[in-house]
Amino acid sequence: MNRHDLQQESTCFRLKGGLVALTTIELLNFTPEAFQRQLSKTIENAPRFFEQSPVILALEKLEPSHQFIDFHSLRALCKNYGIILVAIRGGTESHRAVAQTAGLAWLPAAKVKESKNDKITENKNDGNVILMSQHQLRLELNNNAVDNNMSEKQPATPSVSSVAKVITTPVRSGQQIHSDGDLIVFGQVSTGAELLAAGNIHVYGALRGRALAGIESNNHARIFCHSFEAELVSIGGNYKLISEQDKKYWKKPFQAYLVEDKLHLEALS
Amino acid sequence: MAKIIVITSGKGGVGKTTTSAAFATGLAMKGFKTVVIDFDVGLRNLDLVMGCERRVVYDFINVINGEARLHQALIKDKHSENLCVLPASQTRDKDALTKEGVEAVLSDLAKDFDYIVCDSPAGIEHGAMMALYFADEAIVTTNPEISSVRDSDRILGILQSRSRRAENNLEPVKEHLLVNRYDPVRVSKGEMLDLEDVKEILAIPLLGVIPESPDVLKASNKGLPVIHLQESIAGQAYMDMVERFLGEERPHRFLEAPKPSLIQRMFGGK
Repeated sequence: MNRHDLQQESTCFRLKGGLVALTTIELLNFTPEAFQRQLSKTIENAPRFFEQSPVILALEKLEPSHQFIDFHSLRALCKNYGIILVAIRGGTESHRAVAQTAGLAWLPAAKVKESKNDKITENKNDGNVILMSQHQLRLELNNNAVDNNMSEKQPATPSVSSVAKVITTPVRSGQQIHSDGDLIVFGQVSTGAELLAAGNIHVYGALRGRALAGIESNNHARIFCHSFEAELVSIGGNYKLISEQDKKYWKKPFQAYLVEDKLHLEALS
Repeated sequence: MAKIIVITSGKGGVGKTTTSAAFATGLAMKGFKTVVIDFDVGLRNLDLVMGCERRVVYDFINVINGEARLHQALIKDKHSENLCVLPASQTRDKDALTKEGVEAVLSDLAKDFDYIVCDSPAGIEHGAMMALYFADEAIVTTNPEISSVRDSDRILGILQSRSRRAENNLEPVKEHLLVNRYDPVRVSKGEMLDLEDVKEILAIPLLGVIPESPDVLKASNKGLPVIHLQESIAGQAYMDMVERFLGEERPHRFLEAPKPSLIQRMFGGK
């Protein structure tokens, strides 16, 4: 096989890393009947929101007494309502084993952090089975509003918060800062640190780590920094590892943005 | 109220224990009642460097578990009367360090001492976390090479996010940079990071630069903290660092390679 063949073959697909926002159904306690009841009620409220959408079932907050859950029938049940159950998150070894036979992926448990928002919704839904996080509820309401006058299916647009997160200390190696809107950093960002923002990223110091803007596929996001020494920049999932030929921007004020899905790097004069 | 200072680095072998011994000895020589604690449970070394390994009966873990009283475990340093050593256990596991236990011992020590110096183990595991958790100030020890600097950067992030001061929204842990094993000859050849590079990457105030010196190993093997060797450049640099820590102005020394003498140049020696 010569070099040309190899190149031809490799164009079949590309592997790309990316962050995808998924709806999560967080189980608090579980009986099949109650689950179905609440699911049907939820879908009645927002029929378009769930249409053909992949969903993750989170088990972190499930009472430990629920040892066995029949994921086979649960998956079928969800399918009836047009929801595609793709994975479970957390849960016990036995949950994991059953999920595997049902063809569901398993994701490690997320760190459970009881936020204020969660608590409020929990109280409101007193006696309900499913708890949805604030973010999903907001999406659901947005969709609800447009639902009545739209006959075509509308893809859920990513909601970029208008509130910017401001960091006044250096971001050190191993730290990860996330913002639902813009992210503004006044210190330096060290090698091995990671910035994630749904909106733009501004660094008023040296950017030596990774910066990923527009992570919820917002292609209009931009990255600005005072001194460009980054490892990687990414906008809307289009990333670029910084190589020797990008060194012409090195230690200069800099911005990155997308032009027709291609990452454009530019020194700011 | 005693000040708790952690000597930490992330990476192993950069000179945390040597620095802990020298720094604590220096503070004691300046007249402050000082205790130095070895947090490296299972790999205890501080007592060797301090030359008191034969006098270890009880250790830090014994005190935490209530098997010994604090004054039974504290070893008085043979050179300076203001200094005590609290050795680590060689036989236990790091998990024996509990947050409550460490806190109780530290608050007991705070009644009698001016400074508590915590010698952290390498890494970012439980032992290192316990050593830095209660710190008021941190001396981040780093060698002028990229992996050491990177690990120090990681430790700085942990100090500002997971220490007691960070978790309780108190005034942040005060950070000091100590560059250890600095060799101006190798820096000029480009084999080591320049001091300015290290300062730029870590962006914290520089407390001291300790030059590479054979005296450090010689002193360690003898169980004598190198700060006692007043003719050694490493000993002098450590004393400068202690004085700077106590608020005195001291210029940084030993940053340039010594110029070879005429005879050395004639014979092409070092």
